[in-house]
Amino acid sequence: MSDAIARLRGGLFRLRATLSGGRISIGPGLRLYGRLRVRGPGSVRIGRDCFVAGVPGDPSQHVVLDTHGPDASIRIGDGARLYAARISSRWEIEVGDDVLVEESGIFDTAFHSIARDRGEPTDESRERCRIAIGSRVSIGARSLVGRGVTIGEGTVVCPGSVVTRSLPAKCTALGNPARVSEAS
Amino acid sequence: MRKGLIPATDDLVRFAKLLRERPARAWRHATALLRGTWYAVYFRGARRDVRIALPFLAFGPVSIRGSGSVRIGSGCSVMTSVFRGLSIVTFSPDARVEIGARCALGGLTIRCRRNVRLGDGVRTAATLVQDALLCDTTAAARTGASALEVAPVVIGANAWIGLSSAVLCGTQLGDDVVVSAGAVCRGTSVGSYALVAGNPSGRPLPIAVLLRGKAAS
Repeated sequence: MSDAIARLRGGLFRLRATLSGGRISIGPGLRLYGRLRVRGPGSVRIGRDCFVAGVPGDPSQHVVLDTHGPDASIRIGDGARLYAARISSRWEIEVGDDVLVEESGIFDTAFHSIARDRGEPTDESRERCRIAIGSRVSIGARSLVGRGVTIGEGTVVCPGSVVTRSLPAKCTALGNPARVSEAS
Repeated sequence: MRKGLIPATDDLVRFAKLLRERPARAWRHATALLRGTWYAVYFRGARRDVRIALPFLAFGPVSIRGSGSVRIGSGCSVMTSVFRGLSIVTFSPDARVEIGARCALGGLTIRCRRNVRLGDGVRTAATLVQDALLCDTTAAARTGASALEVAPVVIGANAWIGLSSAVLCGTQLGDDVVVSAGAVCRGTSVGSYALVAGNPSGRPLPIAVLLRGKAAS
C-alpha cells in the first residue's frame, strides 16, 4: 500500500517537474516515501528507479537538493537511495548509479569567504570544487562530504565521517578528516 | 506494572516539597510522568514486543518503530535540551534493544538490526547508537560485504555519552565510561572508568589517572 502511494507521489512529482520547465529532469520509477525538496535556479537530474525517504523513525527530516546559481548542477544516477540527504551545489555534483546516502550533507561550496566581509568565496572554481561520487558508494548517517572531493566506486563512508579529501575506490573510510581504515 | 504505578511515600513527600518550592518544575515533572505513562501503555498496545517499565518520565517525544523487541527499565527519563526526544528503530523481528533502569535518554537515536544493550544509569545527549554501518542493507549490499557490517553494541552501567557522538557497530563500553562530545566509536572496546574522544575514537584514557593529574596541578 505504502509502495503504491510512494510511486504515485513520485509520478506526481515527476509530472510537476516536467511542467515546471526543463530545469529538473527525473527518470521514471521514482518512489517518494518522504518529502523531496528541489530548490534554486540550477539544473537537477535524477536517474530512473530512485528511492527518496526521510530518516527512519523521523519523517520531519527530508531530502533537499539545492542549487545556488543558474550554472550549478546536481546529477544523480539510476537506482539511488536517498534518506534525508542534503545536497547543495554551487558548481557541480555528480553522483553515480546505485548510491546510498543516509542523513548526510554533500556541499560543493563553502558559501562564504573566510575574509572578514564574509562575501562570495574567492578560491572556488568548477574544477576545484566539483564533487564526483562513484557508483555503488554508501554514505552513512551524519557524515559530511566537502568541496572538491572525489569518492571512488564501491567505497563505504562510515557514519559520522567528514570527507575533506578524495577517497579511492573500494575502501572503508572513517573519521574527521575521513581516512581509509581498511581496503577491501 | 502496578508497583511502578503507585508511588512510594518518600517520592510523594519529595514531590510535595518540589511543588511548594518550585511549582513550575513540579508541574513539568507531573506532565512528563503522565506522558511517559501514556507512552508505556500506548506502545504496549500498539507494538507487539515493546515494554516500558514505570515510572517513565517523557519530557520530550518518544518514537519506537519496527518489529523488534524493546525493553526500557524503570525510572528512565527522556530529557529535552538542545536535542529532542527518543527515537528507537528496529529493522528486523529478532532485533533486541535493552535499556537499563534510571537512564537519561535525551536526544538518543537507536537504530538496531541485531542487539543494542544499555546498562543502568546511562546518560546520553543527541547520540546515535547504531549496530550496523548502514541502515538500508539491501542498498548497502550493492556496495560490497564491508558495508553490511553488523555487530552488537554494549554500553555499560553509568556511562555518559556526550553530545552529538556516535556509537557504532561492535563497540563495547565498560561501566562508568565517558564518551566525549562529537566522538565516533566504531568497533572499539573500552574498559571500565575510561574516557574516549575523537573521530575516529582514539586510545581510551583511564579517568582515575586524569583526575589524579588534575589534583596534582
